[in-house]
Amino acid sequence: MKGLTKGLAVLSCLRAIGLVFPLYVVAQQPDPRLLERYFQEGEKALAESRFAEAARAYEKLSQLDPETAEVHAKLGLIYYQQGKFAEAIPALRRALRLKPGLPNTDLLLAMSLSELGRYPEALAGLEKGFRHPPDPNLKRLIGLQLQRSYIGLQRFPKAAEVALELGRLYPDDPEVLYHTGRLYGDFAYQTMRRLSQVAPNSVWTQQAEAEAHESQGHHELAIAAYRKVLALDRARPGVHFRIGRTILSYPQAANSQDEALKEFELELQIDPTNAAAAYETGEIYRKTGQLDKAQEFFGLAVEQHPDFEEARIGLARVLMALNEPEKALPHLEKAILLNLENEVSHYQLSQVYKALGNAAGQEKELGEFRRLRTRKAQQQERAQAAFEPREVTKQELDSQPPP
Amino acid sequence: MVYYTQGKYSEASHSFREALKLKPSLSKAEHFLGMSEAKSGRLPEALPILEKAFKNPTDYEWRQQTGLLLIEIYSARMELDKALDVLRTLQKSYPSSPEVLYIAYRIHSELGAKAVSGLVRADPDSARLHQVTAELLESEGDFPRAIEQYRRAAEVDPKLPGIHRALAVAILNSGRDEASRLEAQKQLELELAANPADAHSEYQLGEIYWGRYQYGEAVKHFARAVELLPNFVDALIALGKGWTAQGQPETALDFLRKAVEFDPENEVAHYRLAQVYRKLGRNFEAEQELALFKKYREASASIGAIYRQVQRNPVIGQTVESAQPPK
Repeated sequence: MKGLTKGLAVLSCLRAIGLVFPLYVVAQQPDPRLLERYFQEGEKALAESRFAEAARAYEKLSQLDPETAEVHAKLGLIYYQQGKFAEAIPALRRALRLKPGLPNTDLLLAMSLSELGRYPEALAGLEKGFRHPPDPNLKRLIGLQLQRSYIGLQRFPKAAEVALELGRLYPDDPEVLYHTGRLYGDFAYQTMRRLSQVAPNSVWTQQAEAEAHESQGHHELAIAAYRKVLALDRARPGVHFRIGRTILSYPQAANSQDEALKEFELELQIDPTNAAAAYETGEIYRKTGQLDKAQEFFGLAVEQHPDFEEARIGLARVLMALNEPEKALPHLEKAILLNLENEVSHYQLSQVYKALGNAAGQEKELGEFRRLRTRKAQQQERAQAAFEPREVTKQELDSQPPP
Repeated sequence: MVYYTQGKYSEASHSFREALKLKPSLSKAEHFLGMSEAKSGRLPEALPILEKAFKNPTDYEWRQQTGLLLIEIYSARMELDKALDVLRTLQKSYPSSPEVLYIAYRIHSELGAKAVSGLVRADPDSARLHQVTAELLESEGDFPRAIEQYRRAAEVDPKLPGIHRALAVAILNSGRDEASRLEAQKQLELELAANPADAHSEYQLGEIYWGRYQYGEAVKHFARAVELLPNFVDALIALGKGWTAQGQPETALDFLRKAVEFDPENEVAHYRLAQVYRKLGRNFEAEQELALFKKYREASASIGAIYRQVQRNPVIGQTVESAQPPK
């Protein structure tokens, strides 16, 4: 976290907002030349990020001129840059005593306190700074500190609020995403801990354990835990579906698909409205060439969940295989409306246009497909897939499409 | 109601609508109408009804179900702030409801996974992503690959706060021989050079000295860690351990009491307190602490192995096993 608030970003922000003195005012000082010399030395060292030397110069200045608030504030800022938060705090406090309205000094003090885990003292300054940041660039830094303070104070809902706002403001910021991921991971753990205390043998605890095993790739343990859930409540919706998904995610045996299919069908007996189970059933039938059955189950999935992108694509593929491109067309159009970025739907649509004799449409969709595929390769989405849990089997291209 | 219990939600919706036409004041019918609409996939129709029903605090029995459905709908619509709002209300009203706790667990797990996948999208070679990868590998016990990823993160951003410390911890997790200790110590010193206020590095250095039987030096680092971060529970426990090893259980007691104050469910702190009370001849208190230790150990053992992935710790935490000085 310190790196978020240290570094030149803070310094440049604070420079921009006034915690810098354009010229040292030497009037009424005991030795103006000496003061001026230390000031120049300190500023030069600071500009060159030689913080230790800057600190030495400003320490001298603060001794020679103890009544100038700005000197203590600047010294606090330098200590802060050095990560010497314990030293920064008294310097900043002194600056504020001398000049309570000194811009942003209270904020820097709050961030220093937060760095040292003194969250109760830090909170008011951080909350104020986050609501009214002196500079838009600082909002992110303050927000991350505020999130950390709320976590430290175990005020988790407030931490989540900050995380959500930061996520909205900085959706692609690795630092924000990293801390958000950790925050929610910790929440999940704490909630799980409480769940296992209040209801250790409940179906909920068993199910959460099963899901945790599944997400960590412990497939056999996950299936065993899901079976325990069913032993407690054999008609529990969603559990057969998860077992089917787990089997599909590690197809070790030759009959894995059959086993998964059995689970999806059991799921649909318990909950006929489970669109995901209908989709998975349809997908297995599609892959095994049983097109009529595939059409029936994809149709069921789309009926239950009209915005189910993957089911639309699956249904369109079956209709294409049944030589009905006109019927496939609206499903792919809908799928693209739902997600413009899916290369598979663009590729399938190009095939539909080809079948319908629409050469311009075919070329356009192929172009879009190639663009998305290239970008996907650049973004290393394979790595992403490793982290992103999949709720259903994704539609993929069956064979290598033309370059 | 019969249709609803049979899972025939469209038919149930129709009947509830009819009932409400005849008697608009039937608040339960409105609840069920919202739930039936939601379960039939008619979310736009369901949402306003459920929102209105959820705001009615008198209907305790169905409010939880309404809230859970609302969370499901908001999550599907990616309105996560609203989903979390409802979740917070439910957690206040039903703090011990296993179903609410389960949903809270699910939502937080999903949000965490979403953030991590966003990190991949945002910058696949970022230091933070290498760090997350390392953390996952470490949680699975794959220390060599975790170390590799931490090293990569440190290469990408040598000033990334905590990265040298994380590398040191992974090195120590992979082996406690002197070569590993030396390499870890070097990384911790690098961390402290960049971040002198990093209490976790001080603590971890203390653990290295502890492993070398240099108790005085270990206690110095543990004390510095507590000075930097007064509510650092592992460092407080380590100080308790250090002072006990040096024959000063009274001093140890203060730190261990503080540890329990900050983290009342910390099994190791209770265990260490039990040991100290016994040394001081306060057997009744020792027994009490031992009972608490057993209670919390049982609770954490059942979930600890499963949830290591999310239970990330910036340092090697204190354990009962490490409570005794190495022989």
